[in-house]
Amino acid sequence: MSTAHAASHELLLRLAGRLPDELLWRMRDWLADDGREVLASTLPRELLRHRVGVTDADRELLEAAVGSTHPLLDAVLPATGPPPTRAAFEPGDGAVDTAALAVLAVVRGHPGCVEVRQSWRDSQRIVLVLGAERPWELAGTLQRVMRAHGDRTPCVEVLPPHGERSPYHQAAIIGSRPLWRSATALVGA
Amino acid sequence: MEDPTSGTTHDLLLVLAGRVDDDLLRWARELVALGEDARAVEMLTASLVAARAVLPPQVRSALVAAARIARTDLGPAAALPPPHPEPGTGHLFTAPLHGDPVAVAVLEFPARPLTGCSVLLARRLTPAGTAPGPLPHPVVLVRVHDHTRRADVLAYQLGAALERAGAPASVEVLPADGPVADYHAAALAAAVALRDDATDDRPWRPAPQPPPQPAPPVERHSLAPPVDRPPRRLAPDPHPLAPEPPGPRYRPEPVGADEPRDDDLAAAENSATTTARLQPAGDREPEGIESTTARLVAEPGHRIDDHADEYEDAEQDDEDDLEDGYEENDRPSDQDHGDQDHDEQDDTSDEDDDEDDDDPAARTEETFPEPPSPHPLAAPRPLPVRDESRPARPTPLQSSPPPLPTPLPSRSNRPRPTVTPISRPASNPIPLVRRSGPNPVPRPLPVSDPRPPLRRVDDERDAFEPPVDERPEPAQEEPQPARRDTPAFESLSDPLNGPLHQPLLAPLLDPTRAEDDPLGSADRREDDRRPDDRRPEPAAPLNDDEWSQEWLSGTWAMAPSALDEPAASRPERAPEPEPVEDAEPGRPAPRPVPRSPARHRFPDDPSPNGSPAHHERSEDDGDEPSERGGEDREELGLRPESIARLSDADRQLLARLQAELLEGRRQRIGRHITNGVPTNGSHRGTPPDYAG
Repeated sequence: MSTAHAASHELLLRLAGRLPDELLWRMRDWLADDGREVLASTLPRELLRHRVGVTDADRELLEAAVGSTHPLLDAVLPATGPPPTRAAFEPGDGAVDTAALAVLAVVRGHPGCVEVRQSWRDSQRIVLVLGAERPWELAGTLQRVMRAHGDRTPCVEVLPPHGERSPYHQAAIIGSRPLWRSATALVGA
Repeated sequence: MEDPTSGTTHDLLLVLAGRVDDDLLRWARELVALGEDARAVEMLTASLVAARAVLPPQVRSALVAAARIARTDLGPAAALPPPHPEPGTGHLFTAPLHGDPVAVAVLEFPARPLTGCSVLLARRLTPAGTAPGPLPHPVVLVRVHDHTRRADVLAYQLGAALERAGAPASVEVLPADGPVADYHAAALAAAVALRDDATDDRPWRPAPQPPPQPAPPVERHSLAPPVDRPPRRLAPDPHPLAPEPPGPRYRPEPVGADEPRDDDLAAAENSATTTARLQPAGDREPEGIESTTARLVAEPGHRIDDHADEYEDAEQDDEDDLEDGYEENDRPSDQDHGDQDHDEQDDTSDEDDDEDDDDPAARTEETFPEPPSPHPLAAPRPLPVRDESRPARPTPLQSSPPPLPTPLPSRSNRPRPTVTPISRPASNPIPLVRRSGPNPVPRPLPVSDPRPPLRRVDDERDAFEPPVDERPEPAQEEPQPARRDTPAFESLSDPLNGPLHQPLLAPLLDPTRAEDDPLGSADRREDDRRPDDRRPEPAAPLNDDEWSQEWLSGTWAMAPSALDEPAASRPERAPEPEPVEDAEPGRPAPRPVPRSPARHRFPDDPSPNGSPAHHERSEDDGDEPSERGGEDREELGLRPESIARLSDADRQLLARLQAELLEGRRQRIGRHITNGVPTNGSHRGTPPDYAG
């Protein structure tokens, strides 16, 4: 379960910026709602529909998430490497609105969270959470919070605290502003 | 039962309203409008399966069937939790506040897509789906009274327009005639009418179905009772979502005229209670409901209107027939329902009985397939508009015809083509007069130029003569000069010209000689022989031009009897002043002379200037008076054949005209000679010599 969910979550992270926001948030919501089977049945078709190529590492995650027996899995386009991102991120003015406060309220109570950063891609808010246990659940929760505050296509990226990140996430972190940082993380640092 | 499964994707979306988040519903509607029903069903099924949504049996079965048709890999039949009936919708709605941005955006939406529709707005106070948006959520309810347009497309268009306007909202397009799910019933109960004018404006409503109007309120009551769950609606409520969509199909037929009316009565009673409930909810609502009911009534009228002037003519009879037909159909349908589903069908049957409008609703559901057939997607929309415009068109047409008689008459080609030639110049003074004006003007002008002498003569002899005179005159004057002026006239005047001219090119030279040498030496010789020689001689040279023209004109032949008299008189006149004039009658020859030399005898032209020509002409001039008589005699010789044809009066007239023409010619010739070529002047000198 957790392996498949973790693989699915990581795969969805890799697909950030490569699939439409309205589709990606919904898939993450399905995954958070324990709908991995639903994700497994729909993700290959969406990859084909949007002509998204996957690297070998992505394909391993895809097989772990969807299963190697899916009929459309072999049809997914291959890719040599993660595509460069075209998105432009801005940290914003640092103002904290109610949506950000709600996100902070949730993140503070979730184990393993280290830092919360916020960025803007045009008019779309990008919430970056570094470190969390069961990140797919936290991502689903934060998405619903964001939707309740009027963000129709929430972009919540719950990233591992360390490790290699996609160009999209690297650019988002560079163009972000911190909202909250864990005291334990600060102490540990 | 079967209704949701057999229903369209739009019907499935209506049933799922309030069960998934509004953004997903909007996205699904967009996909449906684009024709990607499979993907829409896949996304809906995935969300419901992921959320493990508990659905009523009919909705679940409909979703499973749709997912099967869409060939999704989700397997909702096994993935979804078992169905569980719902007592009613758990959503709450409220009327929007004044100045609601969604209301403003709806009012700004173009009127044409919403023709025949009533638009209402409500705010939902409860969340929908697992990831709902902010609340209260705006819900736009569109009641389609005519089924000429696709509900799914209209929902997408209006939803997209609202989203662009910055006021996104859920758009639910409902058939005004059909039953409504509990979700929509609750929304309608709290909704405020935004745009009713389009439906109210139609004059058809009152006419086609004034009596059924009471019934529509019953439908609205049916909408209201699910909210309040009065006794009747309690029956539909147990299966609020599913039974209604299936019911309408079956119901439309049961709407029988007699039953619906009875139902209307009962419904009116129920409506009284329901209206009482609705009224407190909002004063505006009952009005909107009534208007909508009227619209509902009107809608069938719209459809019928196109086909059914008959309905208008005999509304009651036709309605009775239709209703009877519906009743028959309805009854079996009710029976079927009872056989299949007891609970739901009973509810539906109760609803059907209660709601007379359900019949039209059933029509609507059935009509969804229908509209494409009678009104294919594109056509249906314009049809209502056209229907509206049609009544408007007759008025403008009536008003327009005076200003646009010419363009419009094109339609009525028959009367105009017959009348046009005569009427156009008069009717269209400006354009046609201009056209006709110049035409008549130039025509008389060229005619007048040669005619002025004729007119002078004619003035004395009345209008009867001129037509006759004109013919002989052109025959005399024109044939020679005119032909030579324009060969086209020759061909026109002489049918035999073509063959004759070609072989006679050589003889043409001769007549030119004769012309150049006005009726030259040959004529002198002929003068002695006049009657005898002239006939054969002119025949040889004149066969080309003169003979054919003379024969055709016949005027030459006409004169002989009459000409004899003038001829006798002429010689008297001629010798006195007109030896010169006689040379002038030779003029008809000299006029052609310059032309003929131009064609045939350029070398001849110098020759007439030369001595030989002078000699000939001088001789001719001396012969001229005799030639005149010879010409007349020639005419006499030709005439006796045609003389019999002409009456004495005509002959006399011709003779007079010719005499006058000769005089006119003499005058002209004299003028021409004075102003003319020096050769003519030399000739002048000669004729007096001969005369002397």
